[in-house]
Amino acid sequence: MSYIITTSDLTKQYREVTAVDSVDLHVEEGAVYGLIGRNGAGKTTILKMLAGLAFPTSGSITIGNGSRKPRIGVLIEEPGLYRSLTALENMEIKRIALGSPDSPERSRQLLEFVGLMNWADVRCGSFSLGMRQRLSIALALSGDPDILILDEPINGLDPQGIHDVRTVLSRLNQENGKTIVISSHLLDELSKVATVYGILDRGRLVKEAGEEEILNSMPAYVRFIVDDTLAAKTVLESMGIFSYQTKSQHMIHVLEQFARRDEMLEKMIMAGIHVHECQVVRESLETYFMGITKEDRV
Amino acid sequence: MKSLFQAELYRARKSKSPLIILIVCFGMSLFSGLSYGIMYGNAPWIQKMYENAFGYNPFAFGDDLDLGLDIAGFTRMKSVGEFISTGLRINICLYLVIFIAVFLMPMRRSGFIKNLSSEHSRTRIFFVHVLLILIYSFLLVDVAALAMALMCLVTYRGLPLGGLPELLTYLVTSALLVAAIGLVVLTLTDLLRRQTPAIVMSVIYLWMIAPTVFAMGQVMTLYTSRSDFRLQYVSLAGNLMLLSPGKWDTILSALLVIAVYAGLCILLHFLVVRKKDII
Repeated sequence: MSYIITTSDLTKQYREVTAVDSVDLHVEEGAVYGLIGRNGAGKTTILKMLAGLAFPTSGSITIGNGSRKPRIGVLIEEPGLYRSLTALENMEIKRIALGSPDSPERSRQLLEFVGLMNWADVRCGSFSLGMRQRLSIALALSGDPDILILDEPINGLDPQGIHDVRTVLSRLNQENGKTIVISSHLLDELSKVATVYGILDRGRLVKEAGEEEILNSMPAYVRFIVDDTLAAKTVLESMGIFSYQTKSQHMIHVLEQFARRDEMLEKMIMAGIHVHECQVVRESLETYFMGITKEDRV
Repeated sequence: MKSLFQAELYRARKSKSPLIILIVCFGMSLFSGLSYGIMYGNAPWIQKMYENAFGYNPFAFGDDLDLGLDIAGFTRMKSVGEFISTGLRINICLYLVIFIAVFLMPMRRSGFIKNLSSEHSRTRIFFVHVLLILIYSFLLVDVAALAMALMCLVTYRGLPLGGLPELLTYLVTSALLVAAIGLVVLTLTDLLRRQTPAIVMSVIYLWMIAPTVFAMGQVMTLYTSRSDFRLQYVSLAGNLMLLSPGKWDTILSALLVIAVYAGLCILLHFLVVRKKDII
């Protein structure tokens, strides 16, 4: 497997506090790696170390897997912008500083990409948090980085903004093959883009797993909405299924036997029950995260 | 490093603050020259006032025309004119401190440094800023000298600059000494990572450089058995052209000062600053 970022025993200590404790991360090339954790779990500290903004107390970070050092675009904490300069001028400073062969037109394209073209010549000081966040994403994309390190990139964005950023990230990953390491408190949003997860708790990496593994470990159930729950229960029991919960007068959750969903549905219909809804529902990433970190604490 | 330097030049052009500081420096130097001219224009009256107040004639110390690019407060008074011009003129070093505060520091303060950190090391950023300080010191000194020269023309209908080599010595030496202070300010701001304490410490430091330079002059004298390293003795820059007998000694002294300060700052950078987290 080709890892573009690996850390080994990565530790960061601030006086008495261990912010990151012996973390071994493995980020595959082309993955969207979601870092999940409570406040103070060490997400931002890890991202800062990956971005070269902070030094590890011990342990090592390896970035790149070939002879060429990958280029990294960074958005960590508050957007870093010169507020007295315009959006385009900020972009140009980054472009020139990187010695990028791109033309100035590329800066405009990136602003267009994040939906700020109409504000290209407006000073950043007058931007809303969402606009600054978008500009920071455009800055992170300047120089065509191979890896994007994004800390809470959807913080402060309105629902439309969150949707736009998600779309941008998905496109960057799927169309351009960018590797993205991203942290967010909005786990359901994160679950829409991430392909691998690293779950942190009090500075330690408690789990690192792919989307599929996480999905399979998430609690799930089949939800039936029917006109007669009593009759539905009789059908289920006749099939040898006893692990169910009656949630309301019309709703039953069947906690296992997902593979027999169609069979259950067929039997209920044959029994003359009106089935209004029948679907497999998975617990959210948030519920999964709460469960795994609680387990770890116990 | 070249690309980072180019980016900083682009920023300087767009943000305009370096240009505004130069204009203010030019204006204040004109004002300084004007006040100097007024003092000399009223010399008999001032002489009488001083004699009444302090019992001595300040003009007896000499009435050399001072282009006045001093950078420290410890200047032995040679004349009332020098005293007044030193008092009225905002120190060139302060313009450099302002330049560092409003132009160089915002890279860290605004967080823009985060956008560059994965491509440019702290050391590279430090050296680009050292280069900018050096260039800006020369610009400040030249602009101030131009303003003072203009006021000389207006006030005295002449420009007693002496020979070109002496004038160049004067400008180069002043710029190097100003840049030496700039390096200290830059290192302090990098070290403290906060603007206000860094500026306060820098201003305090401005008043400590004269004895330090004096000590260096003494060391030079000790090792070379020569006693004409007098730039530190009277002033760091004021009246330098008139007092120093040899231009190369003067430049050598200034080079020694900047070499020592640059060495210390670079050492501090490598030992401490570059190992610190950016945020």
